[in-house]
Amino acid sequence: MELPVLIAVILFVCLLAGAAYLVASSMRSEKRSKEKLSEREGQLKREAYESEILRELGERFGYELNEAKIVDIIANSIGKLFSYSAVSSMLVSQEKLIFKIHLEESVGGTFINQVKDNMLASLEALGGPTIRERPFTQENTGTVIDDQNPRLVGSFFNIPIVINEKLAGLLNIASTGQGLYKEDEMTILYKIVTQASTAVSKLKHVLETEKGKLSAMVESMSEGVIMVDNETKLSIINPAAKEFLHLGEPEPSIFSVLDAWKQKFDLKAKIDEARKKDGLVVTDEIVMDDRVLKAFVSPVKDRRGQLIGAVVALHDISKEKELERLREDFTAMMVHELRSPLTAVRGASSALREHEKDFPKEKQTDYLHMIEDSAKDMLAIVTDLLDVAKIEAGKFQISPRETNMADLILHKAKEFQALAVEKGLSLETKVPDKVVLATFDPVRIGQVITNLVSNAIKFTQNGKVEIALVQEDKGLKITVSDTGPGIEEKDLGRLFSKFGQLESNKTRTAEGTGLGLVIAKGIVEAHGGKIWGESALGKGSTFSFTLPAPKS
Amino acid sequence: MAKLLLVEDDRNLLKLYKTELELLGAQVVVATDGKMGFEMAKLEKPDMILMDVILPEKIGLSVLKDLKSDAETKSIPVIIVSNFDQGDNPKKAIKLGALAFMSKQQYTPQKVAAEALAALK
Repeated sequence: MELPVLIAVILFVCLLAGAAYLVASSMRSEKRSKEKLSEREGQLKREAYESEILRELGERFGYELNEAKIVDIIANSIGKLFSYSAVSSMLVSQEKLIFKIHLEESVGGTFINQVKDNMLASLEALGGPTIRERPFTQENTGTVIDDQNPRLVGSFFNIPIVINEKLAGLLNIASTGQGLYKEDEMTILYKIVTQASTAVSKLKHVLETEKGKLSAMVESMSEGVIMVDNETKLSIINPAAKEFLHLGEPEPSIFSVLDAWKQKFDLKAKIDEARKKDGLVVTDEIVMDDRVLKAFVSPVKDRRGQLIGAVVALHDISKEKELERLREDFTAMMVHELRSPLTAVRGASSALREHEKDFPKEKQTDYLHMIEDSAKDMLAIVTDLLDVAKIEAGKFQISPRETNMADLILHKAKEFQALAVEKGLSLETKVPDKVVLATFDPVRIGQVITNLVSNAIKFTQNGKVEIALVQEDKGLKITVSDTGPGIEEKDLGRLFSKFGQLESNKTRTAEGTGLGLVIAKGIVEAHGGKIWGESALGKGSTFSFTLPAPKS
Repeated sequence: MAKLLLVEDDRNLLKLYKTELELLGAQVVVATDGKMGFEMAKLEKPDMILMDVILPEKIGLSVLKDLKSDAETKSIPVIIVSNFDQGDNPKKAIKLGALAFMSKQQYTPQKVAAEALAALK
């Protein structure tokens, strides 16, 4: 054979062999694909079935929170998935073990005991040996027990039920048949149980979070909150309530709560009243040793309107009572302040009438002056009271206009010169020698200066009173300082409060309502300024106020 | 001539009461605060004391208590003349040994003077 022919033959054979190889291998792979396909089909079918079961179970679980009920639902549905002789559950509830076995096939007591032992051994392995010590209850359902049936457990498996990362129990599938359960069966049941557990855990978590929010709110409330159930057992008591009642124990009993009132208040009677009335009961003031309380007692009902207990809200009204007392004292003081000049007016006029003939001319004039002065005093007090009322109501009006502050101070100093001289005091001014223009209400600011200077003169026995005006970047600062006895630190702040005189325990000097500084503060603040006092006993006092410069 | 001590811090009222008492022929000594009232009582030994309740230095009822527990002054009759007639004040004054409690609104100075001097007779 010629060489080229040989080459051609070899090539042809090679090609043929290659083609044959290709055909053979393609036929092999086709067979593999077919196998794969049917395998895949089976898997998909199973998955579809599983997900159908899971969905159905999910619907049946709904918002069920009770582990026992969920396990029952699972146990009742898995008959569709695989065959078994008995499905059992063992739940670890509060200090108790609940064993339930549902028989599909009539088996003997030994079979049941085997299942039980299997489950206990598993639980012990998962939850420790103490699990066996808990009281045990058993419930059998399904077909009757047939003690004649000698068949034992041939195959079984356990699936743990874990809720909120805590072992809640076990589910057991057992059959008399041998080697029935493979990985697939275990996996599907495991999936079901996990899904149920996750659902319950989530639901419980949401509930706990909501409950947590609520209890955090109740805990942090400044009102005292006490809740009792229908048997008047204590279900909630917050820290504020414990503090009000001086209950030291972390978890007080209802008896210590009832005793804490010390006969001052019968809480139980009020709770019964609220239940009977089916509505809010508000108590009178309850005067405790260190505070005054008011209690609001309401019945508590669930969504269906069933009475589940009563809640008591305790409101500490000590501050309100104190304020009420101060207001009463203040009123009494003002009444007294008004009555003094009124008594003088009445006394003087009745004397003038009675002694019309006996009184010499100058005595008559003297009494008429007394009437006039007393009337002026009363008018001043009434004006002060009205000013305070306006300041308190935020309705205090000022009429600012451009005014020379230096001039106003010099003018006021002139007014008080005579009074100072009469008392042997020197009244000095420290004012820039120029026009100091600012925008303020000259009448009202004049009133503030009058008040500060007259106070300084009133309380200073010797030395001097000085009025100074300083121009600062931020505006004007006016100070009135004296060489008087000084004021204690703790009394300084009180001077600007309406009840200041009542709060200081000093004997009141009869003069004045003590409202001057309260009004001064109101006037200065209405101008956007500040007023304050600085003093120390024996070192004199300095009262200052500022008037901010208008914003450019 | 009866000697009366008037303890009153309101200079107008002091003048009114003093005038009326003097018109009825009494001799009047005055004190304008509580402390001074007690000192004057010991010093002057008046036949009677007319005293206000709200007084600087020491309130009238405390002065009354002091007067009644001091051997030198406890037999001097005291009449409380006050505007503070609300609450327990009248009762308290009587309990502390005051002869009477006269409300300034109900008793004109003439009446206070007349009744005080009548009580002395």
